[in-house]
Amino acid sequence: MKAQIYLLIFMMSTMTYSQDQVPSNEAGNEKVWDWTTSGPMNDKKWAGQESFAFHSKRKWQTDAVLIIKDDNIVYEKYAHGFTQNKPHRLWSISKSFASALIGKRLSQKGWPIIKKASEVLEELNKPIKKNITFRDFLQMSSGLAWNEFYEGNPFESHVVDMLYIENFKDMGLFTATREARARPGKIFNYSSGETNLLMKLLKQTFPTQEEYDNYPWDVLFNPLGITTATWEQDQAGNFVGSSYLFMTTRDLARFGRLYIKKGQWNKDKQIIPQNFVTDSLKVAPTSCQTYRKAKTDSLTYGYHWWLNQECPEKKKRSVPGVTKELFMALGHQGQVMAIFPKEKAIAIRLGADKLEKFDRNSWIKKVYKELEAH
Amino acid sequence: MKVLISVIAFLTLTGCQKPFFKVVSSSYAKEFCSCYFVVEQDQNYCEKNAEQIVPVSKYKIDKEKKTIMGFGLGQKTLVEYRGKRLGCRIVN
Repeated sequence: MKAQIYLLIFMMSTMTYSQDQVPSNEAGNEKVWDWTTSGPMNDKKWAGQESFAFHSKRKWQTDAVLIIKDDNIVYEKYAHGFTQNKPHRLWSISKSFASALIGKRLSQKGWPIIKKASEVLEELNKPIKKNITFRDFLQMSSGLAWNEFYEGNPFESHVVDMLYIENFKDMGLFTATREARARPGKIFNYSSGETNLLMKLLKQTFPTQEEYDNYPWDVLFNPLGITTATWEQDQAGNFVGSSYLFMTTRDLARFGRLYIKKGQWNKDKQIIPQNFVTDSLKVAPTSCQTYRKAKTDSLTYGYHWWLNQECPEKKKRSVPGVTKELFMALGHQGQVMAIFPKEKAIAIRLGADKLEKFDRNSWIKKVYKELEAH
Repeated sequence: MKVLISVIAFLTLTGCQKPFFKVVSSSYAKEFCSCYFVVEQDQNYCEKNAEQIVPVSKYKIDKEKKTIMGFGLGQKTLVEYRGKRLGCRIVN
């Protein structure tokens, strides 16, 4: 039984801020915006979260913690060979980036969020599936059959099959050919396949592979000054939006800052449309209807972002005592980017917890308490 | 060892099909490749990082071609490093 549990855990390998005029680094002739590091760093005020994240006797491995307040780095610590310059795997934090790209592309094409995906990908032009919209995928509510969490027989795990066994050839197509188990927009079912299908839909909108390959850098990474990103693809050349993005902790925080600023990086640079960012942080009704069945605490879900907002029928926050405006990008092995928009604060914890023991909520509560004490 | 026997028994009893066995070599080779070439961690760290409960029987790094070959449960997987932006990808 113990071995079975280990096997299941092993298979869950993809689960799942400042003023514009601050001094900048020089990159070529162009000035690149950067975080400030003025004031006391790693003040003892942050000791609570530090001993929680890094304590050697705990059952998790923390590689990095970065806390930013008002675009100023107030806490930063690395371990296990990681530094501020070394990229880290983000696992399902990748999904929130994938969402941003979809929002950008829909806007460029002049397509509504309820655009039918079957108009972009012929394989979806089947009964029931033909009505799935981009929004359904962003809300993990397409109704396509998907087993992410490996309950029951692990050999039926779609995510393991997709990443490692046979369907790494074209992950989006693999997802598109799953059976329709529910009508679109009715049931929330967290699915790495849906993100990879979105990345395939995105590719369909470009005439060449080269333009698609450059797209994340052209519209997101370069404008934000993210220089350390690697985004791996499947064999068909689709970005693995569900899991395979890498970058430094400081670069990841730039993406968090973009969402605090509602998609507007600096005054004249609207990177992601404001209404898309706002809508991304609204509760998907399906995530309220079905969250009790999902193995995701009672977190609510937006467009590939996890939310701390209550559902209308159940006034309970997933992270009690922490602002309901908290939103998060979360990944396997204890990856967390928690964003507190009112406080203009970003807290990132990256690690390599194979047994998924890291108590995310407790760490976030400590960070929030220490943030409020500042 | 006890765990390994249990896992193999579990795989057999649950009617595991042959393609599934590729999961061991594929996940090891892919995650080792990303750890070593993308994250640029050292070899010892990456061995631990890529290893799962069912270990690979062996693996090979080709530093010139920038590939990783993983072997396990009678299957093998080749993974290539494609460069800074696109990282690693399973070849076959």
